[in-house]
This record gives sequence, structure tokens and C-alpha cells, in this order.
Amino acid sequence: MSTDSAAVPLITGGKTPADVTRDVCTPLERRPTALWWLGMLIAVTALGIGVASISYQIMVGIGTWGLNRTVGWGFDITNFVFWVGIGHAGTLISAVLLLFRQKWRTSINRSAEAMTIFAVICAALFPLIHMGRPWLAYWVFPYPNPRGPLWVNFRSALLWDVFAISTYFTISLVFWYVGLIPDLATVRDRATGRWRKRIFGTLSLGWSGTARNWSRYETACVLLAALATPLVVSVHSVVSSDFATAVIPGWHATLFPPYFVIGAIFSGFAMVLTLMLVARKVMNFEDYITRKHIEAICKVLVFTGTIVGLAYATEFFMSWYSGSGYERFVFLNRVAGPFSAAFGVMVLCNVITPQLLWFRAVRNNLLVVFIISLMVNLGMWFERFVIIVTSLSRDFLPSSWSGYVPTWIEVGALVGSFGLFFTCFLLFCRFVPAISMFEVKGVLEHKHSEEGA
Amino acid sequence: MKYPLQDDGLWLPGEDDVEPSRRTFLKLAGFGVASAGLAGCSRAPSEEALVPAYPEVLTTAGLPYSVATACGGCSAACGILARCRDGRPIKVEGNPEDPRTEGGLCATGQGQILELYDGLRPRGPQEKGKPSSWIKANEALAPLRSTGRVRILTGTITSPSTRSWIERYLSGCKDGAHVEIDAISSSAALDAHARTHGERALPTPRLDRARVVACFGADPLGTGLNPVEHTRAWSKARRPESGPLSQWWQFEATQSLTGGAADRRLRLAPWEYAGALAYLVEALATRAGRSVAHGAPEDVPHAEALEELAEALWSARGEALVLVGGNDLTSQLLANHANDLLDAYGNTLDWNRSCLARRGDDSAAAELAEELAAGSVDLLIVEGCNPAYERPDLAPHLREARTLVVCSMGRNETTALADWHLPTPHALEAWGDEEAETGILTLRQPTLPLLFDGRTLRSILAGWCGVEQEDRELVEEHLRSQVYPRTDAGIPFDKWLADVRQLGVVVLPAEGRSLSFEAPTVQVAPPERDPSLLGVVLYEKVGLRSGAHAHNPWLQELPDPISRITWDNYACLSPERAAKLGLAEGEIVRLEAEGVKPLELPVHVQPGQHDDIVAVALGYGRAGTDRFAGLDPEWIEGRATIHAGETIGVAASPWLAWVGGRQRTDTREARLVPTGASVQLADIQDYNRLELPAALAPKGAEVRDNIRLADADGHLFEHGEHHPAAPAELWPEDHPRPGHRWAMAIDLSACTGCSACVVSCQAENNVPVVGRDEVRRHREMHWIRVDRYYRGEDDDMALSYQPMMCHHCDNAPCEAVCPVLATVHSSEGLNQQVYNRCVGTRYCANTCPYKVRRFNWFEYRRDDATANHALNPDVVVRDRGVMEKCSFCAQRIAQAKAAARREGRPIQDGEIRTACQQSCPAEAIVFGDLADPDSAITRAMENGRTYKVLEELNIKPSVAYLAEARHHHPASPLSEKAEAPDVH
Repeated sequence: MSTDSAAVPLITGGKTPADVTRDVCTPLERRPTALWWLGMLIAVTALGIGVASISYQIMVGIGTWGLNRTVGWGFDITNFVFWVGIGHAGTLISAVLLLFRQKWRTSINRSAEAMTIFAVICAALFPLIHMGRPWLAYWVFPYPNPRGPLWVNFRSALLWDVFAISTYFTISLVFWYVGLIPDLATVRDRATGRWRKRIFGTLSLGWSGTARNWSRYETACVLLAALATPLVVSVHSVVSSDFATAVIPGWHATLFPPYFVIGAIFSGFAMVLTLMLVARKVMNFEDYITRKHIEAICKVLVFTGTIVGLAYATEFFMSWYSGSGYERFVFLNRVAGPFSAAFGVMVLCNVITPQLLWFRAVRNNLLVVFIISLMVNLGMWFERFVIIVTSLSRDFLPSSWSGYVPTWIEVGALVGSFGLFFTCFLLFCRFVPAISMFEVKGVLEHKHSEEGA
Repeated sequence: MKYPLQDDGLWLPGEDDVEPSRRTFLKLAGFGVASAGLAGCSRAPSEEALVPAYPEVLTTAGLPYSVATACGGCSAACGILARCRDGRPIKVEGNPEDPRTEGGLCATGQGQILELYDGLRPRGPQEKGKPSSWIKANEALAPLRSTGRVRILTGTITSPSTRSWIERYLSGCKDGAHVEIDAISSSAALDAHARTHGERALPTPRLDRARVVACFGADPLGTGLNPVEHTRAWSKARRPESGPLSQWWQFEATQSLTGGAADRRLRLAPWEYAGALAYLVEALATRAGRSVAHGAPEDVPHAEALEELAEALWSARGEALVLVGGNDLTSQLLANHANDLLDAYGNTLDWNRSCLARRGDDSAAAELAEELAAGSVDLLIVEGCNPAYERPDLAPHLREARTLVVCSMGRNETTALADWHLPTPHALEAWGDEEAETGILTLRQPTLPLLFDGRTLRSILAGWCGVEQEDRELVEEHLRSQVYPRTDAGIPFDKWLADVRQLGVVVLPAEGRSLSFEAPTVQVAPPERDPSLLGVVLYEKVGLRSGAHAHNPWLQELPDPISRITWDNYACLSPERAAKLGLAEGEIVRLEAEGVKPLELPVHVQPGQHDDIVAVALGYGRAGTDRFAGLDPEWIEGRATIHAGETIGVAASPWLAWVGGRQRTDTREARLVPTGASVQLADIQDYNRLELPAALAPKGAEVRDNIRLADADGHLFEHGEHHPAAPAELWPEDHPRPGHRWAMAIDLSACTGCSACVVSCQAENNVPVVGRDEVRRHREMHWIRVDRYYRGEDDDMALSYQPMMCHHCDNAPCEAVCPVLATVHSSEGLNQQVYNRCVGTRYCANTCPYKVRRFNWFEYRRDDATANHALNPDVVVRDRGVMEKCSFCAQRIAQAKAAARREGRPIQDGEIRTACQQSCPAEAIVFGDLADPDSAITRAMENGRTYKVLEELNIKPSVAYLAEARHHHPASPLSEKAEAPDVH
């Protein structure tokens, strides 16, 4: 799979290892740029809106959302599934591509993984706050208790979610941190201030760069990657079970696990693309995150996007093939019912526009790629909205059909989750090497070194 | 998966075989001390006031007991049992001893309990709005008896003792008279009988004896006189299992409950009733070999149907009946003639038990209005009515009486005018004797000591006559002297009275009367009307009725069974008329007519309504309904149900008309002017048909099959996409089912949609009121809802009702998905919601295919400490953030089990009655134990009409429905569809 690396260099600009260290560490060591401050301001404002909205909702009640007796989940679980999906690309890039020795991953895996962690944090927020009594959220954990003991319901997909998300978060965090250690040591070595030295000294766990260090590190990374790989498949499969195990037409489908996994990878790569396109400009990483990287991600997008389109078609086929009037109605209702606009956005953004990426000219036009990546993000949010809300709003008994209109409080929570994500991401860019220096050094053009770092 | 949960958590002394350990002993000792202390805290019921209906139930602290009394919701005064705990009533139920209702009760009656605990009732007499006292009031008012012209203006008085005290009081006046009025007058029907039978009375229709009924604009099952009695009787003739189905023909302008239940419903404008009736009478007379000319118009609408109807009626004579609503003398006389031709009198119209619930006399009211206008009335005593609101003929003149005394439980438009407002007690805290039907007396007795210092009209008048006796003594005296002698009890009076106080009802022997008929001479005049205007029909709604109950939040939030709209009245237009005028639901229009103030109302598009009619509900726009200003949960986007100074809905009563001296609800004509404004009506059902939207309907599954139909013989129609039951389980049945298996069956043939079950459930289960805005957002909390579907169009309209509550599925989808096991299955088949454990993920509600789970979106307001007395102490008040739903009245099951265990006997079939079942006037709901092979529920499940909704999902619901059996009209497109072969 290293054929294309021979054709075009992965890292451009004729960088030496010293250049890499300088380029990556400089943003951490100088004062933040005005652009960074601007980004931070917007992100923190959004976060503030979210904190206010969610605090108000917890104080007053779920009634401050636009949900009703028929549509019990709306923005909350849509956001949850959306953010979990975003997380997937990070794990895929860092773990699966590591195992497959894909060298192009080196300059984006660090930030993709960071993205995973922040996305999972955002995701985990929603199941928590969507509860009527979030202060009792700890009841979803099976722990010995004096209430009987009262156990949790192992049949509930929502409980599997708890396990899946917490496992995913733990593994991702550990994997990311372990991967950071050599670079943290580099930052430590460059640090001038006493406190900076101390903090990075502690964080780098006494890394000294010996062969033994490296050997242990390599083993740990491969092990963690092997542990994380099944999660790429399992987490979203479990999330999809929230729907697949319910009896509601439009939810009750065996297709859901693979459909959700591919959707997650699709949306995750779109988010990686969005972030990378911004980061390479803002942080002057054009030589590290090159057109080649963009091109690779675009190819993944067009591939996964096509599978997503196939999944949509399969859903429609199955609804027809099932012979069930309820199933058929739900899908006709998606296309032409009251939420048809959401369906339209979903198909346009997820199925149609990514097809443009077949063309090299499109892939090379970064602005168009950026717009497509945003559209995919939007489309994937709407995909979850369509699945959740349209299915619920018109199910079996026509008497109970109902619409759904979100309140500002609900929109505030969504805005807040983006605020949280970008606040975390900007802090990450500011304080942690955003590109894996030691791995990039391993794939520098002139070196042709052995695999790995 | 098995859950180690106890069925009911009941523990009774002596049940445990284990020797009590030290720990158990201490527990028991502690419990004993604590409960003794608690028992001491409860207010001991006054011996005098409380006589439990069933003496074997002791008035022990914490144990419920019932007091038999009479409902005060309307003048029908149905017998009720007030379920009390610790000296206060918490729920009312129908009294099975009342031969009219046999234990049914309507929504209004169920709402009584909340009106009792109305904290805004005045504490004592008010003089010109200032608090006074009974001593001062009596000092001031007693001498007025002899001042000059005294008039007593009341609603229909059904209490013989009150009537005799009114007479006694007036006999001491120089010029005294008693005038009875009704909010909705039946004067024409009374006068018609006076003319044809020589007696101003209303014979009671016997719907259970009628095989063919023709009904013109009347709504006996919904808002007529005593709908509970009529629904009970009607339902007996509507079960294919117990004989041939009666055949109901309804001719009406607005969609009514009765029309919805009819076999054939045709739209007829009110001005066409007389012509159609004349045609019918002539057709019947021809068959009887007589020649009658009432002037039936040549171009009578629905002539073919009327001919068919005449044939059906004639072939069923002696078991046929013609009912006519409205207050038009011509129509009523024609009805009497038709009924005489059909031999209805003495058969389907009962003179022995004539209806005494509406005796208002329009001409007497007109005379009073003149006297008042002339300023010649010195003392006007008003009781049991609210003329300032509901009688625009009297309202402007009330203040012209020299002294206006208003006796009323609460404040209203009339008390606002009064010199003296003398508070009367609520029906549940008063003594009384009510005879709403000749020979059937319901005894009213207090269920708790007076909450506020009210006195009945009887005791006020007795006091002013110089008789200082307790109200109880006045009633007892009357029973002793007037009622007891008419019985053939054969036991001493005291013993008889003790029995009556337990039963609550006295049934006196019927008199066996028959009255001779004199054919009326009637000539129907062709209607004179301006075709450019719309006819206005003012109608009553179930629950609020004519407005007396507008201060009851349960009834305000009760969805209208037809429109499913809460908290408002509106201008109903037929779909065709609305389209023609370019008006959509919620657009505000101004109704303009000569001589009355215009009404501004939102439009409601009502299928089944006559195209030339605009219909507006009475009972809204009541003063003081801004009491609901603080009702809604407060939040940033929340909109208040009402602001201070506003009213709920718009008062339509000023639009009542007087034609030929008679009150009319259907003669005005109005012009509709769009205002450009619009509102969102708070309705709980968005989609109203079983047919899916045409553009979205999959082929072969265009109609949802949750309502199923049967023919008049009870054979199920196969239609739409009905799936058979799911195949056998993959896994063998391994759930232990040691004891009961609770289940429910609902007969859709009998359900009229009256919604008594909804309010009954609300009262029993402490279901909160959420307010108009929350209903708009589809967050109503009712545990049972009555889904309504329109079937057919225009002249083939029928309504199907489907009460929906938790189905307690054996394979419950909700139970599988709750992450914290907050909803679990009991070994007796109950789906139990554990409020304490619920964290509020709403996953269960999402996956519930019946959408019957209700989430506490907010902490609902329970600010009114007085109203909180109506809370059922056996049912927990749910907190914000938890899910709730129908429990099959688990508390009632637990109580019955405890009682049975205490007495060492098995639970009898029918011993446990859920709140909805208990109240149902049609006995449409059966609840019981499937483990008992002889139980009513087991029999119901084996009925050929029984089916389960969404059975194909293999969720094994415990609730079954009995398909709606009707005489399906052959021309109806729906019945064609109904007979189409099964499509899979």
C-alpha cells in the first residue's frame, strides 16, 4: 500500500527533522495568534450558550425542549449519535491505519484522535442531560448498591451504550496519551520555563528516548491499536441497537449496525477533513497536511458516502420487501411527509454531493472540498434526525401522530456542544503538539527510513 | 428474565409462617406505635354526617369507605358513591343501586370532587361583595318575605323537599311565585306534551326497548338530559351477543356523540327538521291508513332516506322511537305525533317514570322578565342557575329587583350583581332528596363536614319561615311524611331510613299511568332565511355543559370527544364551507348578526357538519376563568393558558334567541368575517382518520386496522392490512404465572366517546392538569385517552372511538429498553412503572407502539392546597422527570387482594373495577382475571368480535377490543371497503 508514497512525498517543503520539531512546537511556545483568540472567543461563547441552556433545562425540566408524548427524542439523541459518529474517524485513522501501516496517517492521526476524544465527550453529554432526572444518572452503572441490590437492565441497548461509550472513551484517551509521550518529552526538552518543564516532565512520564523506551512504546501502541480496532465497529453498532431493538418502524432494522458504522466513519472523516483544512491554514501546517492527505480523505469520503447511499437504498428496499404496511409508510413518509425537507438535506449532502469527489479537479479544489466536508457534516446530522424524529412522529396509531419543533433551549444545547468541541480542540492545538512529530520524522521524504518511527 | 419482585408488596399479619424474630418484632412494634399515632392524627369523621354505604367497611384510618349520595353535576342527580378516606371524599363513582345509571357516571359527575375542594368558594354570606354572616343575612332578608312581590328564580328543582319549602315560603308572601328556568330550555317539548297529552311533562325514552330510533338534532348520549341513563340503556341494545342491534338514524346539523354512534347519519339543517318530521309523520300515517297533512315540503331533503326510515320505523312499531332535540314547538308536536303513530307511548316512551330534570318554562321566564323590567319585583331570590350568564332574556333585568339574593356555591356573573350572595354547600357536603325521574329518589348526604359555611335553599327558606331545623331534619321530615308512606317497605321509618342511607336510592312503585293522545294540528311553514348567511347552532359540550363547570380544570382540559380540542370554544365549519370561505383551522373569524354583539372565535373545521351552519359551544367565556392564570408550568417559551382579566373561550350565550317566546339555540343567522388573525387550538389529535394520507399510503395498506368493524350480527369484517397473530414463540413459555392474570376488554360497539373514563382516571390517579400551552405541545398527561377517528364523509360520516391506555403487554417493548429496570412485569401480567427508579430516558415511551406513556416534562403546579385534598392518597404524585402511565389501577387490585386475603376468600370476578371501567356509562370496559375460566374477561376474550390492536408485533397486549358492530349502510363507501377480501 506504499505505492503512492513513492510518487508524491507525504511531507513537502524538504523538511528536516529539526524543521519538523520547530514547526510543530512553535505554536505551543509563542503567544497565541489573533486568529486563535478569535476562534477561542467564538468557541467559548458557544460553550457559554450551551452551559446556560443546559443549566436552565436541568433546573426547569425536559419540558424546555420541544419534545412531546409522541416524539420523546429529538435534538438530544440526534446530537448524541452525531457526535459519536464524528469520533469514529479518529480511531479508524490511528488504530486501523496503524495496523495497516498506512504512512499518510502520521500527520493527521494526533488531531484526529483528539477529535475523537472531544467528540465522545460531547456525545456523552447528551445521554446524560436527556434524562428527566440527570442527577440519578449513576443508576445506569451496574455497581453494588444498597437498594436490593437493584441491578441494571442488561437487555437495554441504552445500557450497552453506557458500556460502549465509556469503553471507547477510556481506550481512546489512553491510546492518545501513550502516543503523545515521545512528543511531550520533546516539548519538555525544549521548555525554558520552570513550570513548563515540570508539567511536561511529569506528563512525559520520564521518557528518555532509549531503545528500550521505543521498543516498549511500539508494543504498547500495537496492543492498544488492536484493542481499539474492534471499537470502531462495536461502538456505533451498539448505538444503532438503541433503534434496532425497538419495535418502531424505521428503527426496527437489522441493517442498522453496519449502516451506522459506515455512516460514522463517513461523518468522522468529513469532520477530520473540515478540521484539517482549517488547521493547515491557521497553523501553517501546509507542508505536513498536504494535498495528498486531503486527497486520501476525499477518497475515503467518496467510498463511505457511496456505501451510505447504498444503505439508504437498502432501507427502502427492505421496507418494500418486508411487505409491512407500517414499514412502507414510514419510508414514504420520510420522502414526502412533513419532514421531507430533512430527508432532502440528508440525501443531497450524504449521497449526491460526495459523488463530486470522484473528480480529481474537485478533490484539488480545497474550497469545494471544504464545502463538501461541511455538507457531509450537516447531512449526517440530518440523517440521525430523520431516523429518530420522522420514525417516531408517525408510528402505528394515527391518533398519536405529532410534529416536533425544537425550542431555543434545545438549539442552545447543540450550539454548546460545538462550543465544547472547539474549545477543547483549540486548547489542544495550543498546548499539545498537534502533529505527531516523531512519526512524521519517520516518513520524511529524504530519509526513506524503516517503517514506524 | 425473571425479576425477584413481589406482586404487590402486600404483607398481612398472620401470613408469615416464620416465627417473628427480634428484628421483625421490633419492626412490628415500631409500626404499631407509628400507625396508632398516625391514626390519631386523622380527623375522625363525624358520626352524624357519615354513614358508609357498606357497613362492613369500617371507617378506620386509612381504609376507604363509600358514602351513597346524589351527584350535583347536573339536574339528573345520578346516584353516586363517594369514596372517602379519613373523613373526606377523594373520588366519586356511580351508584350501582341507581336503576337509571346502574353505576355509570359521566365526566361532569367525575369532576365533582375537584369542585368540592375549590378554594375560591366564599367562606360565608356576602353583602354586596363584602363578607357578612348568616345572622346578619337572615336578619336582613327574613322580613322581606312579606314586603311585596317576591320571586324565586331557580334552575329546575329536582328536590321535592326544596320544592315544598319554596311553596311554603311563597304561601306566606303577599305575591310570591316560583319561576324555573334551564340554561338550555326544553320548554317546547314540555308544552308539546301538554298539548298532545294534557300534561306538561317529559316521558323518559327507553332506548333499551327501542329497535329503531329516529333522532332529529337530539344528543341523548352526549349532552342531553341524563346522558348516563340513556347511554346505559342504548348500550344494552347495541351488543350483537344479546339480541339484534337497534337501528339508529340520526339527522343533525352539527356532529354530536349520538350522531357518531348512529348507524345512519344524515346532515339536516335545523330549519329543515320540521319539514322532514312532517314528511315522516305523513309517511307513517299513510302506513297507518290515516290521512294526515302537516304541510311537508315538496323538496324535503333526504326524501329517499326518510321513506326508508318510515318503513323501518313502521315495521318496528311498538319498539320504535322518534326523538327530537331543540326547542321548536312544531317539531316537538310532530315528534309526539310520530311517536303516537308508532305506538311509542307506553312502550319506548315511559310515562310512569317521566323525566323531571328539565322543567323550565319559557313563558314564566318571559313574564318574570317583564315584571323585573317594570321594577315591580321587591325580592328576587336566585338559586341553582346563573341567569346573568346563561339567560340573556333575564340578565339585563336582574338588577331591577329591589333586592337581589343569589344562592350559589361559588361566585359567578349573577352573584356579582347580587345584594346578597348566600353560599350554598357543594352536593358532596349537603343533605338532599333528588327526584329527577318520577319515583326514583336519590338521597343526598354529606360526605364530610361543611368545608365552607354554606346552606341549602331549603334550609335558608325554612329559616325565613321561622323553622329553625337542621337541614338533615328537614330532609328526613320530608322523607317521613311524603316518601315513606308511598313505599311498601313494611318496616319502621327509622330502619327504612337507615337502609336508604346505605343504598342512597329509593325506588317507588311505578304508577302504571297512560295518557290519552290528541293529535296536534300543525302546519309546517317553509323556512325563511337569507341563504347568504350561515345558520348559527349553539351547542353544549361534554364536561363543561352549559358553563356551570367552567371553573373545573379537569373538564376544561378534557378533550372534546368530537373535536379533541381542549381549553377553548370555536366556530365549527364544515370542510366544504371552510374551503369555500378560504378559512383554515385556527383562523379567527368574527360572527356578526343583528342585535347581538359579534363573536370573535377561531375556526375549527368539523367534518360531518352541515355546510350552511356555523356551530359554537356554549359554556365558555365564564367570568372568573382567569383563575387558571397560574396553572401552567413556568418556563421561557411557555405561554400562559390565560392572563388575569381574560376568560377561557368566548361566551356564546348572548346569541341565544327567543322566537315566539321560546329560547332557541339554532335560529340565528350570521355573517362570517375573517379577521386575519389566527391562533393554534389546543387539540390533542393531529391526524383524524384511519386512512393514511393519500400521497403517503402504501398500496394494500391504505387504512390502519386498529379500529375493526363487525356487522350487525357481530361478525368481524376483514379489511385493510390486518395481520394475524404472530406465530408461536421461539422459546417455550417459562414465566411462572402462579396467580392472577389481569386483562381488559373494551367494547367499541358500546363506546360513545363520552370520556367519563378520562376524568375518572384523572381523579383516581392524580393525573395533573398541564394547561393550554402544554396541550398544544402535545404533552397532555391523561393516562387514558379516547382516540376518535372519522370514517366516511358528509352524509356517511361515522365516528369510531377507541379508548387507549397501557396495554400491559406480556412482551412489553418498554420493559426491554429501560436501562434501569424502572418498568417491569409482575407475575400477574401488570406492566409496572417504578417511579422511584425512573431516570427519565423516555426510551420506553418512544418504543411504546400505543404511545400511552406520559412523561412529567415539568414539575406541574399543585399550588392550590384546597384542591390538593382531592388527591388520592393511594397513588403517588409523580415528580418531574419520571415516566408514568396506566397501572390498571394497581392500588385497587392491591386493596381487593388485601381484603380477600383478610377474609380468607378468593377475589370474586367483578370485585375489582378500574376507575375507567367503573365510570363507563355504557359498561364498555371489562376488567378481570384471565386465570379464572368463568370470569367476564375470559368470556369477553372468547367473543367472536374480540381482537387485539397491533397483535402482529407479538407484544401480547393484555387489552383487547370488541369490534364495532353496526348496521352498515349499504351505500357507505366504507362498508364496501370493509367487506373487501383480506389483503396481506
